[in-house]
Amino acid sequence: MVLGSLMLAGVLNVPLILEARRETPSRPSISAELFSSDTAFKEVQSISDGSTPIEDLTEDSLKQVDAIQVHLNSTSLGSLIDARFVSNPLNSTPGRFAYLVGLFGLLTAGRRTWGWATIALGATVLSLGPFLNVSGALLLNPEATHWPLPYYWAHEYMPFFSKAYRPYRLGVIAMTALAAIGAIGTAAVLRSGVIRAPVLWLTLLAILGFSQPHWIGEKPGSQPLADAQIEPIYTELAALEAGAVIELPLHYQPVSTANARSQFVQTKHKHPILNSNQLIRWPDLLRFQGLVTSNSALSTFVNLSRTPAPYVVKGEDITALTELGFRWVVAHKQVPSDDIALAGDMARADLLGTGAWMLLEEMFGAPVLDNGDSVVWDVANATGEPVEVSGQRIESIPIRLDPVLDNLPLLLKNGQTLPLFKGKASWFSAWVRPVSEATKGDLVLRIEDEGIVREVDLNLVSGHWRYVSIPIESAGKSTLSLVGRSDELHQFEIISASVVQ
Amino acid sequence: MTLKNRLIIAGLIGTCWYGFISPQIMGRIQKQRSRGLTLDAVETVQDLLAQKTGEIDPSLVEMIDTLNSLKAKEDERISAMMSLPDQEAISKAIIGLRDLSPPRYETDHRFFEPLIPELTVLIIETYGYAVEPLAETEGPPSEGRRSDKLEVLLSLVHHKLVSDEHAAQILSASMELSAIEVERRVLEGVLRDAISGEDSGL
Repeated sequence: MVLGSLMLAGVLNVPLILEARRETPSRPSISAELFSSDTAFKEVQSISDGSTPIEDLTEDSLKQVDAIQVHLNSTSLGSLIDARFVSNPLNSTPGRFAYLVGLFGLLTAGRRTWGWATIALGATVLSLGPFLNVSGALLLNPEATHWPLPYYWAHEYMPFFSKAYRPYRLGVIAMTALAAIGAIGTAAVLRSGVIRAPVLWLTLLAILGFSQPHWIGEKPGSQPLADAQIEPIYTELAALEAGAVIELPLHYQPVSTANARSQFVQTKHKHPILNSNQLIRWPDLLRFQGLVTSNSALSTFVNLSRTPAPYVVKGEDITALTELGFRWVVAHKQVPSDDIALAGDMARADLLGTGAWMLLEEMFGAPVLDNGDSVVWDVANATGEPVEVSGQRIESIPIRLDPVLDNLPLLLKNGQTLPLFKGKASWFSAWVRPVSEATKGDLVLRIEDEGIVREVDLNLVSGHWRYVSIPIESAGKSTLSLVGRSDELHQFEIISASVVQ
Repeated sequence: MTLKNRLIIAGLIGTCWYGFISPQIMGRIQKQRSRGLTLDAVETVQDLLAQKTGEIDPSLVEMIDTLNSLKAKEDERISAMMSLPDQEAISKAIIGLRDLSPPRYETDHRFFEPLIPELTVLIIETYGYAVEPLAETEGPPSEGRRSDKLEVLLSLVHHKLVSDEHAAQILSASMELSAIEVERRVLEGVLRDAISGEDSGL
């Protein structure tokens, strides 16, 4: 009966094979050496965070990214022992509560649960991935690589198994089986009459189970949801003429939430957009690479925020943007800060630097929309002349307590000062954000020149990065510093600071 | 076995596993994972050298001297920080050691050891960012283990037992310490490579 059902399901799903092949065209070649190679890990990381230049991507390097996903999405043995209910795949398990429910069912209902227990055990072992990762380290211990686990053999030799290239997700099967074991155990207890007021106990158990997201592990039920408000600029953009939109900076991987946001805001402006998917599948990404590398304007736009000047764009490539159907270019001076998604150097990924703003003004002239938070340029306004921003006048300011490089916080209270720059400057610009509940007036830029001291409010906006661009207008040398102006201690972040000389 | 007994056994297994066995195993795994971070680079390199025989390259000797001087500089900075609070504050800090949270940078590869960045962060979080230069101390370094002294400093800051001025000086010194440690880590790496690359010559 079971075999017959399986056969029938198999036959019915045959037409889906081609679809599945299109989704993931080939099985990533996994190996223990790859998972323990520091070099391979760094290469994969720099592709995943979008910092490898797009022109350097190859089919092999993208397949390597796919392959390492198998390891990075495997549950570690330590996590199983600790059994926490967390979102990081390396530490993800069904959780202690699910295991305790399973244990309860196993001991109370005995052999009636063994079938489900075998499924739970099998799925748990498979969720460990191809090689045993004891501690949940990102790089596999070389000793662990001698012992392939069942997932490895299934991945290599069982048809279509490799499509499930995120082993930790098999934990869902384990969770279902544990729930079934718990249900059988509960039925056994109810029938036995051993426990007084069983309905009360079961109700309590159900409340515990259903309320799990609010109290267990990372408390997913209490995590903030993404802000579904759409910036007003997109309402204005919707009213503009037809034409495709390029949102800057352009990313070839879902580096931050910007990619998802640009897809979401399309529901408002309804213009076609460049890069309307997250390009996590390598055939799509290689097609995108083919498009952007053939045009110097588009290739400059990719990862523009983390690529310093010089920028060189050919005149004919700017004209070609119109021929390709592009009409509007959107960039932001205020970007929602995402404490959960941002990590490492990705914090800079959405924040255009001084050179990038200079480039856009050179390419497209005056913006058609500018509400102070976002800017829209019309591609049709471009003169078609080649554009070059050398960046020689831009001096980057290395900041002590950089949130990305040092991972140390910057907290200032009234009068405390972080020195930034001393020298000749005509403009200062940076991205700043309040981490704590600081608001306008809590952080100022102090400019000291020729014996005159003035302070400019940085106009912080809670929950957002804000691009500040402040004229210095001094003939001589200036001293610039950040000064706290709140009686309370507030945390701030400042990155991509620079002066234009 | 009765159902009641089975329920009791299930409860006991769950309690034993998640209450005692699992934390023990996780502690060991965590320890194993952070193993390999050596604090006393000079001794480590000297141990490596002691295993070799033959003449030592003069450039290696020079690098070891530099390592020794960096280590001495670190000891001096810690002694300078410890000279700021009075004995009464130190005694209170020692009593308050149990209130300290585990260092958050234990597995952060950017740092050589977890206590110094922890001290830097704790001062900034408690007193804000303000730095004042801390003058060099003379004489031999203060007695006691380096980690113990750093923990006392952490406790002093955690319990706000130092003045704003002293906090600014400790912050300045802890940032200097971090910079020296980075220098020491780079040098130790060069030395390790040099030693392993010159196997026959040593």
